[in-house]
Amino acid sequence: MTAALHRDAPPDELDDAELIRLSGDDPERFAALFDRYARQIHHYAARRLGTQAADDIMAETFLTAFRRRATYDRTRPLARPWLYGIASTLIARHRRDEERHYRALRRTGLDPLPEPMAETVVSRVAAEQDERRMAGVLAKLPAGDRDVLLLVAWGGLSYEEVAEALSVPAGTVASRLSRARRKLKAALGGAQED
Amino acid sequence: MDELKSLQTMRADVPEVTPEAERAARLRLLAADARPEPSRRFRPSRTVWRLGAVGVVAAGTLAAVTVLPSGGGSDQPGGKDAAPRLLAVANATELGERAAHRVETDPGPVAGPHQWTYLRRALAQPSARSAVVSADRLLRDELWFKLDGKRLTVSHGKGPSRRYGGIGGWPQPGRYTATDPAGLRRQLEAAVRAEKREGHEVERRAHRNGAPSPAPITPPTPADVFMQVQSLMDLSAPSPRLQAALYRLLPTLPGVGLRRDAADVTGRRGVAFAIATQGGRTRSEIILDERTYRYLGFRRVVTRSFTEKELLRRGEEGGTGERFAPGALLDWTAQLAKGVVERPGARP
Repeated sequence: MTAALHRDAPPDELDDAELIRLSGDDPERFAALFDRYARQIHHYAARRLGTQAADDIMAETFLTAFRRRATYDRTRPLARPWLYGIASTLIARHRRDEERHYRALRRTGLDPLPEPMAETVVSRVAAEQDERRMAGVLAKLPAGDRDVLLLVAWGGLSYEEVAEALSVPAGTVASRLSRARRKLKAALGGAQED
Repeated sequence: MDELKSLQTMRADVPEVTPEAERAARLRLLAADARPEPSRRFRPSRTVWRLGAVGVVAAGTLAAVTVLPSGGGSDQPGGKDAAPRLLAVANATELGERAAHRVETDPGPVAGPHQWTYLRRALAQPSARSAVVSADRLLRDELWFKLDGKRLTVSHGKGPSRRYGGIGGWPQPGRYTATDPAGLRRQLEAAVRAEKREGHEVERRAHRNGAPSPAPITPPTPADVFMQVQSLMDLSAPSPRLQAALYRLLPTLPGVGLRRDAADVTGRRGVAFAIATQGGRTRSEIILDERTYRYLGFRRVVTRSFTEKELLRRGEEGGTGERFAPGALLDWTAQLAKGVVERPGARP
């Protein structure tokens, strides 16, 4: 009966898990999930790889999620960590590009993210010194540590959400984040790096 | 200094997703094969999850590439080339985009410069006593078309072919060169105006012989443009480029909406562009296959009770006085086959 009542409910009144459940029989319900999170996922991916790659990652994240919707853990009302986890897996395929960009930014001060707008590139010429230092750290971090750090800093996910996104224990998230933050702090002139 | 806060400012100004990219991704999602992967009985370990995710990514990419699956070589609209069930379209704009994309990526049979396009159609016929058509009275016909520049030659397979190049008489796909909705609409409106002027001239001549005064020429309406598109689809062989442009134009016409659960006269299920016509007395539907988005046919259904006399000009006589009840069908067609042949009369 609950399902019948929810079938006609506006998407914005349903939590993500319920939308995903309903999309089993009514696939277009899944579009509401896209409307909720597509821009967030794009922004996160764009910060890591640039907007052109982010276009593909955004589209593929939701296609992948759509195909896997039957496996979604419906005890979790928010699908955001799940989507960020899929996006992280897709971003990992571009790891070498991502690290190369960080190294170039560290070395030159010019952020080489392939942006379509020339003015954007120009504005990046004057990247702050701190940004160059942070890029140097990001380039050297192990991929797992970088995922945790950036999911927290750029994705805005909590420890628990990062753990869910990456399918790792919360303790692992905490230790990776702590390690990455120490390196970052050292690079920015704080405490000495371990 | 909080190193996390510093990091949060880095690259915070990356451009937002463009509306075009967002729309394209949403369309890819809506066009994806709706069959989910089977549930897993266990929560995979991290390693399994990652391997699985890579596989799924590959599957997702494949689904994206085959957004609108190939017709498999069949030229039967709605035939066995039907794709797996796809996500239902949400609105007329999505239907237009999917239909346009389909015809752009899989145009079906396209005639060369010296070839003819073959069409086989089914049309519901009225009875001797009523203008209401019924699928029980089905006429099947065949048409052959050849387009030379702007001139269209039409054959019924027997007797001489007729060549059309001017206004009126037969829809002229060669007249429409614009591919953007606004430009194409202007060209269709010009054709509507020309037809109205032509009709007005006929009425004016008849008036000299005692017929009622000709009705004033009214500006083209969205319903007029819609019917121009319908006649192009039903009675000519528009190029893939023109078809795609027409599909993208339709949702931009004021009053055009999406109608699900449509069907052509042979019962093939479809989804339709729909608009109120004849002053809101009828609704006209351009029906596309719900899986392949190929053109299926046309339907005009009464939505508000009216009599034939209401459509006559003041002082004009004629008509049977028949009253049409809501739900009565005044047109119902199906395009059964389309192909390319070397000469009129030949069949693919």
